[in-house]
Amino acid sequence: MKCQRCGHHEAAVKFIEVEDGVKRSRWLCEGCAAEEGAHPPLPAEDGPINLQAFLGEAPDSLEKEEAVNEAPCPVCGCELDAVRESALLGCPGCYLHFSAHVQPLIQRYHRASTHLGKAPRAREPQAARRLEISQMRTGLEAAVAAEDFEEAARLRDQINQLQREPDPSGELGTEGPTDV
Amino acid sequence: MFDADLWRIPASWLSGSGAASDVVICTRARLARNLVGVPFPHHGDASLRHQHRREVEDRISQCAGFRDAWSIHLADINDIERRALLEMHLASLDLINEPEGRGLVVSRDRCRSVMINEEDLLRIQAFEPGFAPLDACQEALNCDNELEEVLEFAFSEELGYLTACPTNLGTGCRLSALVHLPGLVLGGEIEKILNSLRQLQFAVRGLFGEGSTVQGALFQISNLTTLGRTEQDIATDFARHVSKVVHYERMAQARLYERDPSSVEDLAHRALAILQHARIMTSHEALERLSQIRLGVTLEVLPAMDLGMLNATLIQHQSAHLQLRADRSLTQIERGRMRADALRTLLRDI
Repeated sequence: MKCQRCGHHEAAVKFIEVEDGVKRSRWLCEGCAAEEGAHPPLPAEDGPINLQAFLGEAPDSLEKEEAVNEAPCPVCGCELDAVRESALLGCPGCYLHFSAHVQPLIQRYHRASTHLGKAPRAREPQAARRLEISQMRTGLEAAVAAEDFEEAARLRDQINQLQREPDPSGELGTEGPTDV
Repeated sequence: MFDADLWRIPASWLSGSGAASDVVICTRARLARNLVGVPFPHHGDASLRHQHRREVEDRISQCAGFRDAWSIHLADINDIERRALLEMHLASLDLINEPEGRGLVVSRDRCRSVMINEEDLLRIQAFEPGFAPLDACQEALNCDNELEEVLEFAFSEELGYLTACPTNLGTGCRLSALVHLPGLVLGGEIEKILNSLRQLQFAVRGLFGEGSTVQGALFQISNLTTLGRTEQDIATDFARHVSKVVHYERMAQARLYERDPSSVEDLAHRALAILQHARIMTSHEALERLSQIRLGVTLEVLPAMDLGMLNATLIQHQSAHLQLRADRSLTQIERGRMRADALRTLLRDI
């Protein structure tokens, strides 16, 4: 996915802002994310990031978010301070409740934000489609790089077709159409 | 109770067989899983952990792959037995340090196990001899498929399997290879290799994983990131990078011998002679000497020895294993004597 600010570079960071109580999330490249005030990713030689330090940082863009979800997790009662202190969440529901705090960490640590791979059997059709789209995107990037625009156009149409198909989870097909 | 079959005979994945077994002792795949609507283990109290442990144990016992498996409540066994599980790589340090409400289920062949109430509710493990990340990964996934029939795992379309720590999110898949790198250590190249691995998002730890020190040139290499790639891609990437480490180690050993054969021969023969004659042996010195002997065997400067025997010896002469064998708690000096006696007997006829 291209950066939603400059439109040129590959998006690497999900940037969340809250203005007047309205939440807005955008996918940005590293350069634009830095200009918007997000913390830059750690250089490789620093190795794995320190989770506790990161969770304790509360960058400006996230502090605004705290007013929305600093309340304890409604499922398990876990508090944000406890998450920051231990770098552990309280229950699976915490991922949704504390998503504004945890999402940037996930992106920064894994350099990815979307699961690919095994899913419980009941969820397999969606997971298979997600994997297929991801593989096609990789092929599309390679085709563009190789200036094989015919192949790129074919892959773009296939991706758009797959994204248009109804999905019970509602998670796919929500992105805009893919451009070559 | 703590069955002697669990510890007396080494597990098959220490057999010294499999790919690259001169360098890689064994490969492990571990999958982190939690249950829908159940808090992560650290967030509940001991009584909640007890309840979940019993429920999960009961469900696991319904799976064919865990027929007649050992089910152990860590608080029901003594400290020596818990340490032995750590030495066997079946339990983690976290699991044995706070045993109340923590569980371990081990298949009869000891190639599959599930830690219950570790950082995540389930940590599914599969072990393979030698270097086999794809096989270990597939075996762990097979195990996961079986467990999925009887347990509902917490999963999100976007984030994958949900784990207590976001670093395990997604596939929840961590692969580890236990490698012996004496050539790179003696040749002074190990730091370069370890730094490269760290930059490639791999963790490098000692023989007993997190929190353990490096001894006997034994290292445990694991992937750090688990989200955004399929399990197969993680295993393929792991195989590609660790294969390079295996290649560099073989090159380092060959160079070491080519440059100074008599020093290498002296090191290996001296280590063997010490273990054949010593009367007191610490676990640290035993690991160092066994490591030097293993190097001598792979470089063929010592008579051929079964790598499986050497692998098993690394584990079976650790402190807790000796105390299980003695069937009582031993002082440090008693352990040193017993270890020296056992190693003398084992290596007498070499």
